[in-house]
Amino acid sequence: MSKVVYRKNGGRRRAGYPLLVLCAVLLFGFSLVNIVWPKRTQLELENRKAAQLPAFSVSALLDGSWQSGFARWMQDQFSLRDAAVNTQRAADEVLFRKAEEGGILLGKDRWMFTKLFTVDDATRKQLAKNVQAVSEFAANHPGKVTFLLAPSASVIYPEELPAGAPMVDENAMLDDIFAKVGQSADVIDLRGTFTDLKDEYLYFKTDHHWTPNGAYRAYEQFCSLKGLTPFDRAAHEPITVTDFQGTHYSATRLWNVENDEITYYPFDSLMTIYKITGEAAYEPETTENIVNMQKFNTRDKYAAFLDGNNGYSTIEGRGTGSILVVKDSYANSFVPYLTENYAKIGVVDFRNFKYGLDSTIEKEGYDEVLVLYNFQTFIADTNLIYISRPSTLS
Amino acid sequence: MVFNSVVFLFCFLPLSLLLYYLVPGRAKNAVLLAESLIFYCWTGVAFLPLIAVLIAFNYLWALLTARAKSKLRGLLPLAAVLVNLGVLVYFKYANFLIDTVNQVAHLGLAALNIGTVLPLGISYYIFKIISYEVDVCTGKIAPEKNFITFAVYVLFFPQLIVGPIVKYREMADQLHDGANRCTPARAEHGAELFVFGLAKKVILADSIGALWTDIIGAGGVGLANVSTPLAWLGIIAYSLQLYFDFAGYSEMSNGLAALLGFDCPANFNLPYISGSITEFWRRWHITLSGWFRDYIYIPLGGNRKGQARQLLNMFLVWAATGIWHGASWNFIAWGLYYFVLLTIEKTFLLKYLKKGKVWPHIYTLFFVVLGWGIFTANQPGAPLGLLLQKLFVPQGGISPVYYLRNYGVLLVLGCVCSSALPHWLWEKISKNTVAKLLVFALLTALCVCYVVAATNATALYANF
Repeated sequence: MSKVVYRKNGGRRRAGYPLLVLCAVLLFGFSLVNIVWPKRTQLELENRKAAQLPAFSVSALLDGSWQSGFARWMQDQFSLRDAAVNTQRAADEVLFRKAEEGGILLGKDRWMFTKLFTVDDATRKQLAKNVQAVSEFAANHPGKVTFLLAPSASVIYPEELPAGAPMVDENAMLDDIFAKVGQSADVIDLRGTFTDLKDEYLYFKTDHHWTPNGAYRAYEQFCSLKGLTPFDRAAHEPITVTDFQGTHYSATRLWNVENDEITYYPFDSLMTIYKITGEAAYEPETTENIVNMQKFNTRDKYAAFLDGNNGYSTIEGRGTGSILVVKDSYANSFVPYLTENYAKIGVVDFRNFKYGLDSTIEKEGYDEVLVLYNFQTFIADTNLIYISRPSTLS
Repeated sequence: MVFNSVVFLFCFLPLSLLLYYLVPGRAKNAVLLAESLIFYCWTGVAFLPLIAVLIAFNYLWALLTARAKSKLRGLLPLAAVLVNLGVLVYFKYANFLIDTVNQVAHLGLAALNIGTVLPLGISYYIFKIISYEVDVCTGKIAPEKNFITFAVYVLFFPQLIVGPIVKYREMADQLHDGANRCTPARAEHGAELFVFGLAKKVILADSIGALWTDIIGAGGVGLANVSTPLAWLGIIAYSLQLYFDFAGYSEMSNGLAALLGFDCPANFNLPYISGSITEFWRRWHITLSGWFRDYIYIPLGGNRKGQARQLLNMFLVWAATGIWHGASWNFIAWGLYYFVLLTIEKTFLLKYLKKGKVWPHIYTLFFVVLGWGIFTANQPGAPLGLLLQKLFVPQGGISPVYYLRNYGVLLVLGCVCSSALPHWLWEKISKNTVAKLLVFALLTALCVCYVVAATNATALYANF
């Protein structure tokens, strides 16, 4: 065993122990700063609540749960936490040339894409169930149902992916889904349109959603299928919200991030959000504008559209007839355009509405149904199966 | 509480050191024991009675052994070893043995309800205790008379989770010298070791290890889908991760020990630069192979009783080394794999290896990396048959391009840091105090960033 020789110069060191002093300063300095550093309830940049100091009890101390809570609290409330995470990510991206961070691929031109290298068996089974549920639902409402499945940004901009990224063959999966659902519903496949228009601002770079412009291009295709006249953008003045950093940014904290912009058209339509009390049973909770401007002042700016993901809401439009939109959050920036063409728009998000749809359609007398999802939510969503659940009301 | 967590670095460590340095020398062991107990009970007190009984039993037993008449002297330590090993076997291997017996004899014995979590550090402290008992019996050391001192040796918090397995006789002098063991020079060396160990763990091991997880982990692409080059890349990444994880943790442990005033032997000495498997095992997990040499191989006769007996002894040592890593057949296979390789080297290959320059290193790395393939075969997603087929039957599948793009720099850095280059570089830098402080401060800050941002992966070797 090698013994370390500590003392050269006969036990004297001219410079003392500078490294030891440095370590002591760092160790005790950081620890002290940590104590006085203000504590937070929300980690804004990470989109989650910060751990709080756990309540003390002897039993929690003896089984170790207080200690693990205390450790989480120290971790979350560390002084300079945001700067530390940013530095770690920047080191990964700049020093180590990483092409991936927090499940997000760091593409060329500061693009960020959701990493999807594999679709596991559970997801494949879920996808088959979802396809079947939508198909059954459409077969029960012949001629009424349109199915719009938005492709991932990586399908439209594959050249922006990091070199060699083994993404799943989304094109083949989309072909398959459209072929199956297309037997009973009208389907809208945006790949051709979006690829033709790929120089436009279709998807956010820092977020997993499409932009209001991407949603508009999808809406145009919907209108041409339905023979409707689309909302005329040239006749209206848009509003642009800057400095949007979405969910991809929260995951990656990309050091040289290029902030997104949200350009939207202010509609004066009113939306009523309902409180769900049972199947086809709901009572109005609030009525507000379909765009909640206050949310543009928070980090989660996309949540301004339709004020987030509510179980059931209805919107008054300026057109004729009625349509029910069954959706994930991609529809939130799409639905406002529909106010131009329909008199009444219902919106159902199955994350907060766990009943079959038939009874609601019957009660409200919806003329049409639009099922709007993006690919990545659609394949894994565990709530969409409610769509074909038979009514339990007699 | 892992060393690479905010709570350890900025709460437990500063408080422990402060208190430990402030109390006078004669109280240092008592303070160290209290701190080690808090560390041990950080995950709950469920196993506190176990270790308390073990410490009390072994403390008394060693005193008894030393006083026993010559006839009993052979029996007493045997009983001690059996009791300690019995505890280890009960917690670590009972269900594996029951399962095996059931499969062989179809007895249908019920599995024991001992939980899935091993008592923290049991594989390490049991081996420390056994080394103590045997050394007392053979007269190498006098039994420890002070109960607190003995308890500090067993519970010593820097070594509690993943060793190293330091013998009592290597720590005894400093354990008895509370007044003089802490020196600034030793502490400075300790701080240096600790930060370098921390960097190995949080910057290299955790980042490089993600490649293997990308393949076999939940949500990974699956070993069945990868091409042959990617399978090799994956297993090489795992080899690097295992080394930096364990060597990093061992260095942190020795660094903490030095901060507390103890010189402990290094557990790793650049194993991947070895020119033979024989050399590899002198450089990898040195305290464990040393333990097996001193307490199994040599007592069995070592190489002094003829070649057949030596082979048998080696066989036993390597089967034991394998199973020490876990109750699973792949670990036994991994141990015996090394028995075969070492036997081949001992019988004829070693003299050729000594003459070679480059090929012995390639040969060593090849078999070591392949060995880690066997070693990791108990993980779900990495069955050995599939892995071997992927490695040795050239085939297409997911190409390594993306993984080279994403991990390339880290892999190169990992290879560089497996060599003697960083040490050499650090010696050069250290000649200039300003440069030394600057580099060290930057590295420390970067480590802290990785600790804060990470989810504090525990040490791989804590599970063994």
